[in-house]
Amino acid sequence: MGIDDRPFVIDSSMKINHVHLKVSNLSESLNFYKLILGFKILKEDVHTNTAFLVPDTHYIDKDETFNHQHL
Amino acid sequence: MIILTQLKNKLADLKYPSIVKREAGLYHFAILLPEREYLVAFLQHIKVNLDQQYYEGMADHAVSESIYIHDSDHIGIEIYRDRSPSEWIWNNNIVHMVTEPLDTIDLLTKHNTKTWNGMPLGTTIGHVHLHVSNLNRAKKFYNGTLGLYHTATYPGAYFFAADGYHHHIATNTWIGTNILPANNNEQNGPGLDHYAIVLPNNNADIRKLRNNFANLRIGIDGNIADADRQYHDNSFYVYDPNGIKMQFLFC
Repeated sequence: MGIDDRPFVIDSSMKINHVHLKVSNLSESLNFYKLILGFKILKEDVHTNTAFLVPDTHYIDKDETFNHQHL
Repeated sequence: MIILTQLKNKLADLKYPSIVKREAGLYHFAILLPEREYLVAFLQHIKVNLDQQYYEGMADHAVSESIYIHDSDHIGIEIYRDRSPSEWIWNNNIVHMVTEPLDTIDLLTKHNTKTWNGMPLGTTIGHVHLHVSNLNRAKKFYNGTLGLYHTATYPGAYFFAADGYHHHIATNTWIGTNILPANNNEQNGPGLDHYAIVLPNNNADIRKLRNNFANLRIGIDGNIADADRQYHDNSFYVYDPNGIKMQFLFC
């Protein structure tokens, strides 16, 4: 699939692993990425002022929440 | 998945980076949710909790459904879910993609089953979309050198993917052609430091890829000082023709 005139074919399992962003105010950005986007901090490196964010949230469906609330 | 590094220079006027400066760089990165229900939950969440200044729009791209926002540094972010690949329409090896209004009524009435509780397990970075100087040069690199398929064309934009996906990397000239290359000097302000591609640890392929770069005199630099370098020893960095830094990880 896709136009094919390539001497080298990249492996079909290729994925984007991460993006590394430079931010003007790390604490302000962390608030945004945690509170709005809902990422969790995997680790923080205080020497380089760097934070590593991942998703790791388990979900309960609304119906299940309703059931739990009424047990 | 997402790495944030504080710029050493905290000047407020560092915001609004590449678009205003007409430099190559990140247009947006795209967060791929595992199910449509999570997109609905996110939509409900930002309706209540996101100041409108961060909101940019929504779209149905036929292959996917998307919400666009930007962060506190005006870094573009797409949050999307893919339709099933069985619904994607391929014609002469080009995938049918459009930009049409998102059917929020359908989303909110048929799939409103979850309450937003943060990014769910299974969330990934689905693609990155870049401002570049010249589409043909971008194609020569991403299609010709990296070996990605050219999967779609929009006015002023090319889309590239590994086998079977609609796009892992998109490039556009929507802020103009012949723009400046990415300025990787840290004083240049917020934006993309680099994005990383992960590939299987196959020595023959790695050698071919490195040879491809060497033949085109594209520098390979595994020694760039980088905050996450220590966690990914089996990797190297290159700069694309627009000076955008990429990391190749092998695992």
